[in-house]
Amino acid sequence: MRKQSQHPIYAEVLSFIRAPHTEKFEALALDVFRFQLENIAAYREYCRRIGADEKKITRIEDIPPISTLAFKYARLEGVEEIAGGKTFLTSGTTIGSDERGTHIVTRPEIYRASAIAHLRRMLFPDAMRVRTLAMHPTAERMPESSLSQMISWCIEEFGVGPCVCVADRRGVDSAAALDFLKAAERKSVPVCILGTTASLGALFIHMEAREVCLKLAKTSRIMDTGGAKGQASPLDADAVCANAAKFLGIDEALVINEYGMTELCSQLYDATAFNSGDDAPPSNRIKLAPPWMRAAAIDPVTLKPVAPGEIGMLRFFDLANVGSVSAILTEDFGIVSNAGDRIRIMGRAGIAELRGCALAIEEFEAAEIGRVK
Amino acid sequence: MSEAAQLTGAVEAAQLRETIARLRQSLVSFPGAMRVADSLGSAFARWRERTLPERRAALARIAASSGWSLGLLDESIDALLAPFTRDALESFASKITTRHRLGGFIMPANVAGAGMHELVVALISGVSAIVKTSNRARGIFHEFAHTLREIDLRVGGMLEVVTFSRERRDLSDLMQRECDFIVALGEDASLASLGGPARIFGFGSRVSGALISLTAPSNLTSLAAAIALDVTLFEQQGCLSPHHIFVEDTGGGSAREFALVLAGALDSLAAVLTTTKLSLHTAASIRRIRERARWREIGGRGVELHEDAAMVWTVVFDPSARFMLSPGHRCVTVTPIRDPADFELKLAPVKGRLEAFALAAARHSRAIYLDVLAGAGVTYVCDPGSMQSPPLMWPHGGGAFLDFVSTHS
Repeated sequence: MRKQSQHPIYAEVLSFIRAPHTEKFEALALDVFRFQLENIAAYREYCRRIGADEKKITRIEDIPPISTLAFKYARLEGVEEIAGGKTFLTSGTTIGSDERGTHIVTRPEIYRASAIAHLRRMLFPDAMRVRTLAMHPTAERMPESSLSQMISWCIEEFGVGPCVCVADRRGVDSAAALDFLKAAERKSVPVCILGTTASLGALFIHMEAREVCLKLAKTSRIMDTGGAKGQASPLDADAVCANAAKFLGIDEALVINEYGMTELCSQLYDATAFNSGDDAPPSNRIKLAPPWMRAAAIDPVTLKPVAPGEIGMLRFFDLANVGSVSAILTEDFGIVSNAGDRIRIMGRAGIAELRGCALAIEEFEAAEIGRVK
Repeated sequence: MSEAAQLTGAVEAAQLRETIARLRQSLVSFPGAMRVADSLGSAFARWRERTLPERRAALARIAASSGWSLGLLDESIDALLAPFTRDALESFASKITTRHRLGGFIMPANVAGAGMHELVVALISGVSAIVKTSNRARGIFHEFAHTLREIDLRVGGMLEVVTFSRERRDLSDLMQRECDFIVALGEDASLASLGGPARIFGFGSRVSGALISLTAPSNLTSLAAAIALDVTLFEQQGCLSPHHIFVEDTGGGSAREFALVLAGALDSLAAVLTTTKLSLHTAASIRRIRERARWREIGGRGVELHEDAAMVWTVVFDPSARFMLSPGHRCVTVTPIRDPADFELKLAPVKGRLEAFALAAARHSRAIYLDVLAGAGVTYVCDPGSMQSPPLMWPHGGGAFLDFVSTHS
């Protein structure tokens, strides 16, 4: 067996990320799948157990996706340890989770290339470098967090001048964030704010309590992620944009929500007038995947794609995951465009809850909407 | 609110007031507990006939709204009705002191006929009852009331069934104001929102399980078939449906073997009692359970997943799980226990939230396990295969309501 680190598949994926050719995606995806099947024992075992026959897998939709839960229980990197690999842990905040998932990224340069290229398209299409405020710990403060790593890379690539991180494991220092933003306002320089939606919510509360509203420079922008997770008073997309306008003077088109997870090396971002010409209201935005990632909405029973326009569980094939497993089944619902690049996120699958003879018929019937069989 | 909607609301409120007044009037001419029991016995005897037009009509409506198969509904309703024998009804009637009160019953719709026990003991006890069901499925109670009126107009006059949605708080409030007590089956949060002067008996979120403790279980197949039936009836949606099966196993692998046999039993039953279409959320929940089990198995955690391709049933053998909740739809966990102390630990997550347990235990250990179950708040212990048929005198939810209506002479 060729050593993983020398395998040409890595170079091919990196090359694709740098210069995507959509027509070559499926062939490369199938090569990546076969490479992963050969090198990852747990994935091979999974495919064996579900009766997936490699010889019959000729289209991307045939590639068996693994649940994000797999990262909790099995090693999903290749057979060879790669020096310089990075280990990321899931947050462990998912309801019902009992262990943290581990994603060992054996080739961080591919992860970085993916993250930076899509950030450039979605958050920095104007090619600006800006002062950056990190409201989530950066990589040196939380090395096991994939979000931290991404923020650090973002600062390296797109930051300029004073860039500040106001968060650590204990929380976010909203006062320090406000000081940074006030300084930027005084100098009329644009800023980029990176953080979780919860950290932004905390900042807005902090500013409201002090009756402070800023007018940041025109091209200031925000990337938030995580949605309602961890928020005492959850902010929806409309509220994030409204608060960004009210407290920071940032245009809603420059408030861009990220969808990402530790188990995926690529991310999706809101399509807005700033980065794509889309101008849907915040609560109705679609997210754009990079060209090296393809999404599908699938039927949880058959694991096959649902009919066009129907809601299904989101499955991704991410070439940037070449060092682990690329076909990932998430626990999120969504609607996906035929090309697999435009995704409307529709929430998350729940877990069983204690109940008895409980549902009213209205709920019962509502639950039947969007039947999958 | 539109003018039309306001008008409709006023009419419905007026109708509800009239219905309540009529029921109040019926209290003064209570025909006696034994006659009520006799009439109910006749009504249930008719309802045990699967061809009864009222039963067919009710089940057809439920099938249309829920997607459940008629075969599954018939089996489920048979199990529900089994305890309502003439003997049981008359025995109860002979022992109680009647009290004439007006009771409001707010019934759920996910489990057809749930609340029947409370309604029946109340009627025999001298209660006139107004039953509220949900908007879109008139369900069993409307049709049952019709049968009762056909058999005995006076007894039938003690029961009225109304339908309105939970959004009509005005109508709910009216019921709560006018009734002497309210029986409500629903989620804990919904029950917590009930108020008003009437005494409220809430039957909230509860789950059930099963325990097999046999020194050398030679009848695993029949036990599995019985438990598979308990799991399958009502599509595992009610408080009496088992979520987790525990098997006393000191290392011989009988729990693991039982999971496999149970899987076979569920598969066999699925061919007879066909299932419904799953909602996206339910299917996703089951997918999550399956994938978690599959990957724990691959990861060497000793878990075994048994499943069918169509997601009709799922059995997870988990060697170390504490009580796991199921999304329903024939999805269960099987776990070995070492002894009663271990069992008690594994019940801890749902202590006080348990309703029923099927128990197959050797004589020497049965009493000990019954103590554990009582300590965990279980109100109904039965043989496997009987979980959906608790007796008339089942102390549902702890027995407060039964005590309230059945003051014995």
